[in-house]
Amino acid sequence: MKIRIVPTILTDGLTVVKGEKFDNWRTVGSAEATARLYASRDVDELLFLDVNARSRNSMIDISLLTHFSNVLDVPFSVGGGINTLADAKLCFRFGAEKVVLGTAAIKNPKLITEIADTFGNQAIIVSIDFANDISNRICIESGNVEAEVESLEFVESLATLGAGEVLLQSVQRDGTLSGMDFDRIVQVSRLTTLPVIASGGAATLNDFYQAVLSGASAVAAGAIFQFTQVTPTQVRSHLSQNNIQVRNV
Amino acid sequence: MLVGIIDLSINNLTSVQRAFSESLGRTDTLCVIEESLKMDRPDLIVLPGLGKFEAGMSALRERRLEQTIKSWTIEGTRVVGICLGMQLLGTYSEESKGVKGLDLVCSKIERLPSDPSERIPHTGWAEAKISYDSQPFSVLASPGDFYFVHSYHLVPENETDALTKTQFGSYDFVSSVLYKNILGLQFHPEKSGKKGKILISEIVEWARSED
Repeated sequence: MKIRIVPTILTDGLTVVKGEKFDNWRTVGSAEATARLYASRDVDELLFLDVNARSRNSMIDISLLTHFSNVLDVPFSVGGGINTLADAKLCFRFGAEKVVLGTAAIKNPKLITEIADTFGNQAIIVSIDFANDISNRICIESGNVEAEVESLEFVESLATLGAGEVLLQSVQRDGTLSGMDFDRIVQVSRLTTLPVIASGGAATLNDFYQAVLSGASAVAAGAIFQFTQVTPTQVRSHLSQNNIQVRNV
Repeated sequence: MLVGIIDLSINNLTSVQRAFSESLGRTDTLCVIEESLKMDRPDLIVLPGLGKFEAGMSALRERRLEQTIKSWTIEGTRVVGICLGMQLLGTYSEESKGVKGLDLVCSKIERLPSDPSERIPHTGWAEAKISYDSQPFSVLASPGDFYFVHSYHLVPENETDALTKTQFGSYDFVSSVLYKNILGLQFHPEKSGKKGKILISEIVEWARSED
């Protein structure tokens, strides 16, 4: 299996934003231009998340998705406010390979099964947003609310429910460039047979390597690619030098 | 040249449309075929798909496209099935027992075997190694990976139909088939960057050379 490096692009529905700990959003550019830049750099895959779709009571904007599909010749996943099978269907139609379900999957796990029955397991990523390193509590509603669910049991049930991947996030480390929670990656990737996309806090080339050694099949990151000189291509060569298989461009 | 993209509504239509229109010339026409209707026989049909075998086949049947695709294929239209679209070309699938496929390529669809070094769904970039002389798809003989996202794969009855193979742990699965005028790709050329783009233009040229 080749490890994927997945830049995360967060949007508020119109522009690209960057936050810290799922909060303090600030605008950093145009979503389409950002997507175009990554596409020209032979990125493995992209992750688009609309961070306030739920608070707008809608889902990720379809015209924005169309812009992405028009410029991207690499796979991308989308998330933010996807609540129904019909929502997911629109995302696929407008070019997404996979949808990311967060709050909706936790509140209504049947949605995972429903989408999987039509689109297959491979089309669904379930996002698990751990509040911090210490407790097993997970958050929903863009980090604003604590979920009333036994998180580890939920992770264990994901493959059976019909999910295809787990997006492992950390609210505490999000956007902080403070390093990743490797113990959590070990824990979660042992609990599930599904590929795990580790996310939150990546700050150095070595963080990506450690995340892979901890069991991640892919590493997603935002801040490091937006605010430092590190590029996804550099990460791939660093992994390759350490005998980790990556995409041959 | 007339190119038709079969729209089963469960697919990534926008991306496939973008990718093929980029490779077509000014005098070529690209149309989206949503149901069986009276039209000229296309030179190339593209069958993209995302999802379960059963959902794909019922969409084809509801839209009365099953027979249309079969007749066009017999008359010489070149066909390319992508991902689930490739699997729909097969005879039947383990994923949806009792559901018949298009049966254009004699084959069965099986789940990927579990392997200690791999996780299912198989998601990401992998090499598709050519099994024999790669004409007319010479890009398959060059280095570089394609993007895969799937849990099932097509096993052709005739080994000679296998065009490329891809490693999955200790197992090599058939990642593309070529049988007469029918091409099946388990990976997504429309999402495989520059290499995918070259393959799509080779597919267009292959269809153009139809005699």
